Amino acid sequence: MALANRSYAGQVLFVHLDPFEARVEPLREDVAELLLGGRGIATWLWYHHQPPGADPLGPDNRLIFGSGPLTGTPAPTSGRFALVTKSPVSGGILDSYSGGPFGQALKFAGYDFVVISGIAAQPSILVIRDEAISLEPAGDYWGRSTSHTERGLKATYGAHAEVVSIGPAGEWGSWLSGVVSRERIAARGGSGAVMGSKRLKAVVAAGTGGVQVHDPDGFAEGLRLALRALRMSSPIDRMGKHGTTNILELIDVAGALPTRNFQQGQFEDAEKLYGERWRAEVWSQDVACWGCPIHCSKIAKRDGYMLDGPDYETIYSLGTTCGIGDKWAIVEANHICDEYGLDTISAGNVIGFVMELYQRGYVTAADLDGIVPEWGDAAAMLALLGKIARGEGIGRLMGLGAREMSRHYPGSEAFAMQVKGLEMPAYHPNAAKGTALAYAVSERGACHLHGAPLVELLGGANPLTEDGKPEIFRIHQSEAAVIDSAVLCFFTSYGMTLKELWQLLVPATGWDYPEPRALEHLGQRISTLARLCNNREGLTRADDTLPKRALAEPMADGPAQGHVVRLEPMIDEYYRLMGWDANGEPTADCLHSYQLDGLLNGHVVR
Amino acid sequence: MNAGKQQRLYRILNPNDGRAVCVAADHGWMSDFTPNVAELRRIVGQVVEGGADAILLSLGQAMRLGELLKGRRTPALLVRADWMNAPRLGGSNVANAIPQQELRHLAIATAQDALDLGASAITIYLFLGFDDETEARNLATCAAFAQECRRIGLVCIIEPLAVGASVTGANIVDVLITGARMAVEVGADMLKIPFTGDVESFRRLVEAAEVPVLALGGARSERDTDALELVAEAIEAGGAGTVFGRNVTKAPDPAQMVRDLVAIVHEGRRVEEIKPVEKPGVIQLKGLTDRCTGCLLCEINCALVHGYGGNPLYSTVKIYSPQPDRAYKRKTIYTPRHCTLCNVCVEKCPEGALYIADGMVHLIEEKCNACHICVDECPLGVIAFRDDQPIFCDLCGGDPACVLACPEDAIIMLERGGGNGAG
Repeated sequence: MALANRSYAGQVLFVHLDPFEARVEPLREDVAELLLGGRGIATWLWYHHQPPGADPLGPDNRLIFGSGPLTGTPAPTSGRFALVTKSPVSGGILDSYSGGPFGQALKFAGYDFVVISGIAAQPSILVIRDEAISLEPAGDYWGRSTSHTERGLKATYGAHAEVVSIGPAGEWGSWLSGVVSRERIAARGGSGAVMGSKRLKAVVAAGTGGVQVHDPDGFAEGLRLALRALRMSSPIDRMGKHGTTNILELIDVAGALPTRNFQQGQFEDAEKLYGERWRAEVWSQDVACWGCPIHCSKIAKRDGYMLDGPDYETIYSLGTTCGIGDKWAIVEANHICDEYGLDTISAGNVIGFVMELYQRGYVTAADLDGIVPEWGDAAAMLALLGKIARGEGIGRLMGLGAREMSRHYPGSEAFAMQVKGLEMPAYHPNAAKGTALAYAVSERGACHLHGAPLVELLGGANPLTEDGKPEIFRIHQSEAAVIDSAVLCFFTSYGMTLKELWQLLVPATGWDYPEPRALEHLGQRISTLARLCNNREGLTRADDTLPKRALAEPMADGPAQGHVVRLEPMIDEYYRLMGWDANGEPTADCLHSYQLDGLLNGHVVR
Repeated sequence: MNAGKQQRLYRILNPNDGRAVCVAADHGWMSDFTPNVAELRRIVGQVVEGGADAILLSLGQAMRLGELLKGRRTPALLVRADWMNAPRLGGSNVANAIPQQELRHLAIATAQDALDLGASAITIYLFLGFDDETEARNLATCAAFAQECRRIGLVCIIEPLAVGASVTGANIVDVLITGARMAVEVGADMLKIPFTGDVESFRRLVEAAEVPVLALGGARSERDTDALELVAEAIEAGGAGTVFGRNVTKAPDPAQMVRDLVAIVHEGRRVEEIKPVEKPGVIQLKGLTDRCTGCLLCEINCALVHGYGGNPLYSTVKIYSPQPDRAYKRKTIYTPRHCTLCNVCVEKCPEGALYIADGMVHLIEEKCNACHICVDECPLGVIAFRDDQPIFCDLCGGDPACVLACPEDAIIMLERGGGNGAG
C-alpha cells in the first residue's frame, strides 16, 4: 500500500540552493517502517546524504525539515516539525523540534521532508507550493525580525502559507540561534546559524493536499483514547493552567533549580516565579500550538503589549541562573530572543556564565563594552542579550556559546555549564543524577528533551542516586525518540504513554508494530543511528562528559548538599545496556539486532 | 475464606452481579484542601443518597462520619490503612503547600482498627516502578495486612500503582499485571487498580488477576462522559466495578454521578442512554473568543470529516486572529468564525446558485460557474473552495465536528433562535 495511504506524503524534496535545483524522490517504505518519520527518517536522510566532516556553516551541510506520520492528523499536539542538521556547536548531529504548522504545510504540499544543501548567492527565501519550488530574493526581510518576516510572507503567499524564519542572530551566525515558527522556535544547537550560513532567511510552504490514514476507524478510536487520557490527567491539567512553570516550585524544593550559573540549586526569590504568581500578575490567556489541547503557552499582557509568556526553561535561563526574579524583565528578554531568533536556554546560560566570570574577576566591565553584569541586574542581562542578538562587541564572542568563551579564559571551563558545547538546561546535574547522565550522553549535547528522566525530580525515583539511572534513562530516551519521530510534543507524555501513541500510530500507518514494546525497540534503533552519526563526525566517549562543577564541586547547600555526579560508572552501564562497546560505539551485533546494518547498506535484512 | 470475610465481601460487591460502585473520599490527608475535602460531610451524604455500594474514608473521617453510614442500605465502609505522599510528588502535585521529592509510605492503622469502626475492608497501596528497596518494604506491609485481614475476617483490597520512573508506556500494562499478581499472591481479596486505558489491555489484567478488580479513574475530566465511558469499558473488560474519587467528589452533583455509575455497573445501561446528546432542531454555531486557544482542531476536524484529509484550507470554520501590526503584539487572541447566514454570498452570486434553508447555505451545482465571488465576498472568510466548487458549512448533519473536536468548548452548538448551549 502506497505511503500516501499510510499517513505520509510519500516524497522527499531535495533543494540545492546554488545553482538552484529542486528534485523529488519517493520516500522509501522500508525506511518509513523501521524509522517511523520525523527524527528517525531525517537522521537516516542525513546519514545518507551528508558528507562526513562537512563544515556546518558550509555548502555541504544538509538542513532538513520534516514531519511524521501523525503530522496533519488531529492527533493531539501534531502541529510540530523536526529539523536535522550538523550543529556548529557540537560538530555532531543536531535534531531540534518546534511547535507550529510548518510540518503540516510541507506535508500538504506533498513532502514529508525537504533536504536543503548549498549556499544561496544572495539572501533568499525558499518557497514551496505543491510542485512549484522557487528561490526568491529575501530583499528587505534580511535584517528584520522573525515576526515581521512571517507577517510579510503570509501577506504575500496567503493565510495558509506557513513560514519558518531566522532572525538577525541567525543571520550573523550566532551559535545560539534557532529557527522560528510563529511563537515557537527550534532553538537548540545553532540551527539558525546553519540557515543563516546558507543565506536562507525563510522557508515558506503551502499545500492543497491532505493526509490519509491507513485505518480511519481504528485511528478515530486511538484518538478517542488518547484525548481521554489527556483530559483525565492531573499533570496535563497543571500544564494547561500554569504552563511548564508548574514544575518550578518542585524543582526548587528538590534543590535542582540552577541559580547563579549553577553555583546553587535553590533560588531565594523562587516564590516570585511560581506558576500561580505568573498567572496572577502577568498572563492573560492560554494559547495552543496547532492541534494541541494542552495549551501550555501563555500570553503576557500589559499596556497593549501581548508577548509570549515565558516557559520554565526561559525563567531559569534569563532568570534564576542570572539571579533575576523580575518577571517582566524575563518576558522582555524572551521577546528579544523570539524576535532575533535566539535559543533562550543557551543565551541565558551564557549570560549567567559571564556574570560568574565577572564575579570571579576573569572579566571587567571594560571587557564587556562597559556593561557591569552583577548578579540579579536585569538591565545588565538585557544589555548583554542585546549584544548577542545583534552580534555587537562582546556579543560576537558570547554568541558562540559558553564553551567557546571559556577557551578565552583558562580555568573558567570548570564552570562553563555545557556538554559538547550545548548549554545546560534548567535542572542542576548534581541534584539529578539521571538527568546528569542524559546531559553527558545526549547526541546534541546537554539536553533535557532526549530522554532525561526528569521524573526523578518529580517523585518517580531518588534523584540523588546514580543507581538504576542508566536503565531509567534508556527507556525514556527511546520513548522520546519515538515521540520525536511521530512527531508529537514531548508534553503528551505527561498524560498519555507510548501505549496511547502506539494506538494512534498503528492505525495511522498500518505498520506491523505488534505491541508498544516494538516502538521502544524502534526508539532505540533511532538513538543508535544517531550515535553512529556522531561517531562518524569524530565524537567519542571523551565527549560524553560533564564540566568540573558537576564532577568535582560538591553542592554547597540545599537538599543536594555535598553531591557531585559519579558519571563514569553510569556511562559504562548505559553503553552496556545499549549494546555499544566501552567507547560508546555500536557493535556489529547491535547494528544487526536493530536491522541497521542492512538499512545503512541500502537494503533491509529481516 | 472465612464466613466473616465472605459476608463482608458481599457487603461491598452486590451478590446479584458481583460488582460494586465504590467512591473514594479519602483524599483529605494526602492532598490539598480543595472543596471536595472541605465539604466532605455533605459529599458523603450525597454519595450515600446516590446509592454507592461502598465508600472509602481515612481513619479519622471514618470515626467522624461513620454515623452517616448507619442503616441497612447504606454503603459499606472501606478504610484507608496506609499513608503515602505520592500526590505531593512532582507532576501529580496538586499545588499544595509542601511539595516532596521522595516517595514515602507507611501503615497508619491496623485491620483491627478498621474492624472496630465497622469497616468491611481496608485498602493499601502497592507502588511499582520505584527502586527494589521501596518495593520490598511495601510488599512486606501488604503481606502483613493481608494476614491480619485473614485472621479477623476483613476484606483486604490492595491498590497497585505504576508511577515510578521505571514505568513507561511500553511496559505499563505489564507492570500493572505483575503488580496485580503480586497483590493476589500476597493475599489480596480484591484489587483497586488504574484503568489501563482501553478494553483489550484491561481485559488481560482482569484475567491475570483472578480476584475482583475495581477500576480507578484518575483526575477529573471536564467532559462528564469520560468517567462514565471509562467505567463502561472496565465492565466490558470483565472488571467488577469502579472506585472513583475526584470524578465523583468534584462533580457538581455527586449523588447524580453515583446514580449514573450505578446505572452502568449494575443496570447495564449504556452511556448514550444516560447522557444523551441533545439534538436541537435546527442548530447554529457560536464561537467564544475568550475560550479559544487557537489550536485549530476545529478546522482540522472539519476538513477531515468532509474528506479533505485534514487540510484547513478546506475548512468552513476559520480561526481568525487579527494580524498584529507591531512587534510588541507578537501574540494574539483567536476568534472562531463560522457561517452566520448573513446572506451576502446569496446576494452576490451572479448565477443565483445559492440559497439558505435548514440553517445553512446550499449550492445548486448546475448553476455554479466557479467564479469564486462568494468566497471573496464572504465577510468572515468561511467559504472554502475545491475542485471548482465552493464549500459551505453543512453543520455536519446536526452533529458538528468542530464542536466535538474543540477541547475548550470555544465553539458551541445552539438551537437556532435561542435556547441553551450544548457543547
